[in-house]
Amino acid sequence: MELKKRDFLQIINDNRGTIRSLCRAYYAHQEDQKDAFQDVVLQLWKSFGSFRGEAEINTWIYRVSLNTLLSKVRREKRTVAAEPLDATHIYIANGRADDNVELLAQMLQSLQGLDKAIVILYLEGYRNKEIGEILKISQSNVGTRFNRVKAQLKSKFNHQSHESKRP
Amino acid sequence: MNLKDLRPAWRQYKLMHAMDPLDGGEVLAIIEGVENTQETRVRRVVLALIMFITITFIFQGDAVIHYLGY
Repeated sequence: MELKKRDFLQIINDNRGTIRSLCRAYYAHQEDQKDAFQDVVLQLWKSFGSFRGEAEINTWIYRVSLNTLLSKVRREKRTVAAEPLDATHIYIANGRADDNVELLAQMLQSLQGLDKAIVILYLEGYRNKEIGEILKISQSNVGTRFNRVKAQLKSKFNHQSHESKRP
Repeated sequence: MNLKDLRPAWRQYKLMHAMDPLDGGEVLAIIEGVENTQETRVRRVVLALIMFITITFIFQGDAVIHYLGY
């Protein structure tokens, strides 16, 4: 196997958790996730030649993967795995990691395309400026969208939290 | 809800999805499929070009006559 392919395979293997998580965040069904994974790997391979290591591998993975997934979702003109916020059941996090993972999964499921990407990048630790660069949108657009999403989630979470506290 | 508090959960979410090993053969099939498609496309273009040149040459009477030395 040639060196380029071996390097690429190693990178995909090292970042399989990230790529699969992103696919899972956008597609609920396993078959769709598999298709999305193939599309993402394909785009990563196509851009691998021009990737010169100027950006971090992690940032490159997020940039290509999220833009591929967003284009795919837009192309398919359906919001797979996204349900209206009201239809989701958000449980209170009681401090246990597993509960927080469940909460995270449900929260991601309730968000739409670009908002979901912004939240994921925030969770990954990127700042608004970097998020804007990765998603090719302005920093102010990131800020506006992010504040709106946070307010939405906060209101929903507090509402659920009060409901579950009732006897 | 403070989103920052969900950062450890996102790390764990990624770890959960990294538990299954990657099928290297599957990844190779994806990237080699693209290469094959590109190769096939180039081959088709070259073949079409050769056919076009040949047909143009054959149907130019003067060229045939010249070629045959008449």
